[in-house]
Amino acid sequence: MVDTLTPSPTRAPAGSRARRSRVDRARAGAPRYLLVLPALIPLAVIFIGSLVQLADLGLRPYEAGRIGTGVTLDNIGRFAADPYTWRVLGDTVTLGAVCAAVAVALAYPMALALHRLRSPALRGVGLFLIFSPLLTSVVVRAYGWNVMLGDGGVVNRFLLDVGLIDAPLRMMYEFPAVVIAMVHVLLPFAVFPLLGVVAQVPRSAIEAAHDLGANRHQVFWRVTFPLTRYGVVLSLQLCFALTISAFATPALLGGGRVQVLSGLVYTNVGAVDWPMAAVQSYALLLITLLLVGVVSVAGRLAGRSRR
Amino acid sequence: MNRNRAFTLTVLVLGLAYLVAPLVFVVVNSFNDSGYGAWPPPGWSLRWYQRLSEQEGFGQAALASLGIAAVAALGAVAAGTAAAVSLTRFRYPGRKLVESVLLAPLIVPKVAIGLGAFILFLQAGFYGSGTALVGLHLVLLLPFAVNIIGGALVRIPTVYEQAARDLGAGPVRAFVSATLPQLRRSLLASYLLCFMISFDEVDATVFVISPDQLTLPVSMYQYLQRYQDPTLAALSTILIGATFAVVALVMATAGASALSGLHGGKGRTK
Repeated sequence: MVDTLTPSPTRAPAGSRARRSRVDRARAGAPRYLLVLPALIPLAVIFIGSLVQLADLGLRPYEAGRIGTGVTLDNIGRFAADPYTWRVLGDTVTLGAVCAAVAVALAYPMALALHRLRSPALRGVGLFLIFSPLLTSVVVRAYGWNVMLGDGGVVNRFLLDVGLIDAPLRMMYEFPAVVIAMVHVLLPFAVFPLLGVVAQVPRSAIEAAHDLGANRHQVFWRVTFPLTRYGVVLSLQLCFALTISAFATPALLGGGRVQVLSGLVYTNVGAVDWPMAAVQSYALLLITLLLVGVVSVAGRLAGRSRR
Repeated sequence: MNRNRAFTLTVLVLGLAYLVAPLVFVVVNSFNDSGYGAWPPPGWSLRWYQRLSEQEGFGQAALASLGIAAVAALGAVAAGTAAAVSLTRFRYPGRKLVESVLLAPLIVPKVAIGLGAFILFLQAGFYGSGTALVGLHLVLLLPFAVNIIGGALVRIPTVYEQAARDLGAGPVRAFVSATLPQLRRSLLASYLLCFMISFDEVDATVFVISPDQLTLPVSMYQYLQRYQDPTLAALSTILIGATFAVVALVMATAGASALSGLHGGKGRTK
């Protein structure tokens, strides 16, 4: 997550780096900070302000239908003592892990194939199709999957006609339906970081590996994949974070039977138990940060051991 | 073609089919006479379009969403470009921290941002205003804008800008005349992506929205929770048609390659 914009050696011609940094230093001054302000100010006010408000809210006492004054840890205690919340939390993390894994497993070969397409026109069409779901509302796509995966829907009809099944599969309002629809939402976002890294694998490295006698699998696992691992991690993190905080898709396809934590947050906001909603939101945030932390430490360790 | 290539191509085609299937199905279903999306359709009708025209609120919500998306995406691209220039062209203490903060809304759960923003806007007296929604969307869009434009900037050589400076241009003029033209495609791509993300945002918006200023996706979400008929299919068929027309127009004027800027202009450093 952290060093996305740092030019890696493969990106910039090596010779120009020293000269450029000298030029940068020469004209460095106020602008470098001033230029960040238009983006940083709204972020500091709205984003950080929101998280502060949320923390404050989580520490307020909840008194049947209203929020009191003072500071208390009661809400955290209520959260920790509720086995239902823990089950939903477990389901949420599982859903996030499964969806992220499926989305990236599907997105990686798609990004690779798209990159290998020689015709720019075909590549343009492919890119357009990958991003085309973004042209349709998440809500509408949930509706589309709802109808497609229903008992009399097109998927069951097809499986029956082909003879793979004898009776309609019950897919709606179950875990698989949420995964299918969620991965559909994630895929454009999963492909996005991967396209960038796949394009940066130097052809010469692959050719060199072939010349040295590596077979296709060796080339992939020892050259292509390690060079793109950074994008894979980025993609997994993004998909996990998007899934565990997604609200509309699980609600519409889970139909209350597949419950995720963001759904509980929404319910609690409606029930005016805002402090609990705040604590649950923070639980989601902590899980994400934990994952990002673990992944980046693991990545750093793996990077060190390779040298 | 070797086996590897065949495999990745197969996955690409299947993946694309999976991505497009629900869209196709929604379009077909908007003409389906059955209200439950029975398959194959027992008959064809336009009655969902007629019912859509009787629905009040969708039009107003669509206008609100268009306005919010247009302004928020513009703000995100403008502020994101400035930030991306600072992050890619300079080295300074705190740069890593600034970058982390700029990208953080991408990984912080949207429910947390949405609920926090709701409380914040309530306290600041902004709740229920267009400004509040634009502000929230701006924050959610910034990471995407910074990422795309930053990715493109890293690949654009600085020699032209330096040459312009040597010839006496000020820093702003050098950037505008030497770097900005090379950035055009990425700017367009990031604007389009930001616009679409904002236009479609539900997960955080649903928390800060007041009942009298619904955005289109939120009002569609509420409709879908109450009724499950293809009225929404009719609405989205119209939306799909409109967006395809816009994208086709963009591709015709800016070239088909405009979309490939979506992943940062892929190293086209001449």
